[in-house]
Amino acid sequence: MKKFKGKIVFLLIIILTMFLVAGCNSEKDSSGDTSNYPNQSIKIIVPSSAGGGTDSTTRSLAAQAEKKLGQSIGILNKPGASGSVGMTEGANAKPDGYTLTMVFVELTMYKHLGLSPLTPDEFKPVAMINFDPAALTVRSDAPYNTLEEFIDYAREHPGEISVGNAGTGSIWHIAAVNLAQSANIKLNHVPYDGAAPAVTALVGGHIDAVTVSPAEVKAQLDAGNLKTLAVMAEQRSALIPEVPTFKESGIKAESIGTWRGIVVPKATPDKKVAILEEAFLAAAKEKEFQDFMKNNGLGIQLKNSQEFKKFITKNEEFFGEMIAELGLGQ
Amino acid sequence: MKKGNIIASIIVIITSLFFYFNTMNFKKLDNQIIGASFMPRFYTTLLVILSIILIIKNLSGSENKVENSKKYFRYSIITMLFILTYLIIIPVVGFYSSTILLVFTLLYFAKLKNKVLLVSIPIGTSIFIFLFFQLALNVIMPTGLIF
Amino acid sequence: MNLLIQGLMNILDLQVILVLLIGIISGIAIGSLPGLTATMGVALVLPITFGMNPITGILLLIGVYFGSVYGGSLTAILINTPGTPASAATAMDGYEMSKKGLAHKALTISTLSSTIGGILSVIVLILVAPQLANFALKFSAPESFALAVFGISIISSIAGKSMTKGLMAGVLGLLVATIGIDPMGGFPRFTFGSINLASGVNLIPVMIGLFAASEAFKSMEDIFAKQNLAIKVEKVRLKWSEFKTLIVTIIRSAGIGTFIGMIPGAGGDITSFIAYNEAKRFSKNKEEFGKGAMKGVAAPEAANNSVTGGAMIPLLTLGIPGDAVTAVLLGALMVQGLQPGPLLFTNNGPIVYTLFIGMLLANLFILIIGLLGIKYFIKILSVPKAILSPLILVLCVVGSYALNNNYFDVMVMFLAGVIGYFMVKLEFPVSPVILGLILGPIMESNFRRSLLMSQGNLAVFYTRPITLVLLIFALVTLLGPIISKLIKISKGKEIINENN
Repeated sequence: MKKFKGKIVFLLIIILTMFLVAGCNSEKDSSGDTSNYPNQSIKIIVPSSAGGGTDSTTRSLAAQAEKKLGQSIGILNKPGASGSVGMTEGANAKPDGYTLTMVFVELTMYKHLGLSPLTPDEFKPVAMINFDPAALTVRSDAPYNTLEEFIDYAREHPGEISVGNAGTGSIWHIAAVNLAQSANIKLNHVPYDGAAPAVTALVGGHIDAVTVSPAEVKAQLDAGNLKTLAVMAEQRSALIPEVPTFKESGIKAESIGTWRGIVVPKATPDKKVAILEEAFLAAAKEKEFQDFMKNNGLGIQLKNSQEFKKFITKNEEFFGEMIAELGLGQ
Repeated sequence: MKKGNIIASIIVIITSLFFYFNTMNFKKLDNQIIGASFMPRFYTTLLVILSIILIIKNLSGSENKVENSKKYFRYSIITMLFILTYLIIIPVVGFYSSTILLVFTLLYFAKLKNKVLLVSIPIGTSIFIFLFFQLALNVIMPTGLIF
Repeated sequence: MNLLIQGLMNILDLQVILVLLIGIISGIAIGSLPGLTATMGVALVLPITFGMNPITGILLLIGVYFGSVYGGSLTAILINTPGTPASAATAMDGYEMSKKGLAHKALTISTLSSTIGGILSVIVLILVAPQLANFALKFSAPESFALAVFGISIISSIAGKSMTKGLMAGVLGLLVATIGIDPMGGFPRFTFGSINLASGVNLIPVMIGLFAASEAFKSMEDIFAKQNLAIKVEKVRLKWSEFKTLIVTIIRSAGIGTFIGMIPGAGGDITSFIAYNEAKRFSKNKEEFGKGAMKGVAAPEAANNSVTGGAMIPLLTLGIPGDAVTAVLLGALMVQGLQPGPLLFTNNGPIVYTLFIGMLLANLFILIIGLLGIKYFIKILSVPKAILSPLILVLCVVGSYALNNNYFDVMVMFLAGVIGYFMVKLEFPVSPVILGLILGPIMESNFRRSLLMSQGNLAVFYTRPITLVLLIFALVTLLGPIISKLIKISKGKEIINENN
């Protein structure tokens, strides 16, 4: 019995120590106070795995934003369900301006696809950083050299052209469907597990075209294996400036592409959002970040909080219609 | 362990049937030759057949007998319950304090007599995890509601 | 050749070598902990390399990558806790050897096979990468499907005592793999409205649960039963004559590993199982496998390390990342302003050859660190189970959480641990579940993708030579044990008839 008592005392001491240690560490809640914001470290939730494009873009941007905000920024990777796991956590975070989320185009599609009830309305946009359009890319030995020729060929061979995408309901799938609808042609859509496997299949000659971002095909363009016919955007891509846009090629197609931007939970005070907006937009203009994006073939397109909000709303409406027409979702 | 095999087979059959009926409301896209429900149905059917074979084998006695001591079985179950409790309290009291408690409890349960070890191992474990995972690898363990 | 010598000169720099060593050692540590995979290790180190020069940065990542592949097997052999999915096959015979007191021998075999496999694959990479890469491109959906079917057929050789139980475990893995968003149609299957299930059941937590947690649960029992308490470590070293018997197995496995490693999206994690299966097929003592066969350790180890060189082939020559690790490496190269692909060799020849030399050196360092470290690694076996088991359980929790910072994965790990415990008790093999989980999605999506590409024509599965050969292999592997059983029975009858 004596022994047993000794053990209990041990246990109590441990628990007490824990309470004390934890008590000392607990940070003051500063959500109401904006005068000296930010006065503690900031966390950015990245809803995809470490090492991916979104992750390294965020890390590179955060390194510059740290200097502007005067606080350290930590990255928390939370992948899963095309990003909806991490974004949901970001939406439910404390709206104190210390938990940010890096969101991407899929945010505007979850609800339409029936993947998650999460909508962009749960967030307040801070700044959009990057945009990469869909680029219609084919093998360099393909019998068509322009978008017009591609469309003529597709009209003569309906349903015979296989177009690889990054997965059913992915942004690149939507882009291919958008192409087919705008040009009134029939394509055979083949989903892959991401953009890279689709590009691989195209290089291997197993499919006829892909509609992914210029960055994902750049290496193969340089090597002469593939050629890009047109980009689905308002302006030409800085990475492949010689390639015309859809509009220039005579096809009126909505500009579709992937984008990334910083958001905060919707109840975050506007004053804090303004501070963050200024810091991140300035960070994105730093040379180190610009170089990073250039090396990775990623396009920089900055939008402030207001513009970003409009852009998201437009995307959401457009994808809603597209997805409903495709019969995806539930 | 005849009984165990039969129980396992029955559990697998029930699970398979549950999954099979769940595939009934899978949607099929127009352009797809094989829909989302094809493979799951194939697998569940296969599982049911295999389970039935296992039951027959056990009833006919052709399956090898497994020797197992049932006497100490409960200690594993108790350990599982400890872990379950641990997983439930982590979100409440935080990772590090729960871990100290869990390791201490398990060591005590495993009849570790050395008092120095009983205290130093739980604390040492938490420190190691903090240093290696939290500081070096930047994995932020859950903090809990109280702390 | 000049470029290789130049590469060697570039490497012989104290700072570069030091960085490579640091990479390998942290890689081994990361790989040996459950939940921390090679991909995660490389991804975690990636941001640090942004500020380094290309050679130092990339070699640091390569050190971590190679080190963690090797490290994953240490704990698989010693405490039945494969650190990475690629080491799951090693646990089958490696842990059995440890239980017999042959841990020292098993680790020596693992270290030697790993480094030989790694070096052979890098040599292949240096000599014939472009030719092989073009062959790898021939792999389309039907070929990948056939390879996955072949992988699944291996269940029959790792099933253990009961084929029925082995198949049940394998199909269970395949079924669990269908949980989540359907890869082809985008429809959420068996998610019951949970977004955590939408991305499917994660392989790593399941593996940690099935292997490590279930073993820890079981050893709590042993503590009270006062049995199997301490694994004795006998001072048995690997003899040269024994090593000679393994050489053919190691070379064959390295070939398999390099080959499958270079095929994009084939799932490098299963090469160790395929190599294991082939080692068993060519072995005269098939019964030894699963009970601590030396070849059962050498084959998966040589294979999973040779995947490293194989995976670099399409990455460097075509700019195509074949798996998750090389996808991160691709990003790392691009950040340094290097564009992998055919032009890399012409534009950045010296850097490429420096990397090649670095990869060879990395394998040599692993050999040295491994052989010197064995006597320290096996000390873990002298830790009493009463202390080790609680620690393993905590590491299972931390490891599965660290993977995605998601508490849901921890719950999956716990459930897998409980199921794994009962499976072991009822003598259901757990490895087939892992095989099913890895290969299920690859098989299903490539099957459906093939049909989509052929517009529903089943001929793609028997008119393409590689596909046909792989499917025949699969059939032989799956039916082999059954046929040999039938032959035995009929022979037995003949003998009886003759006696009569």
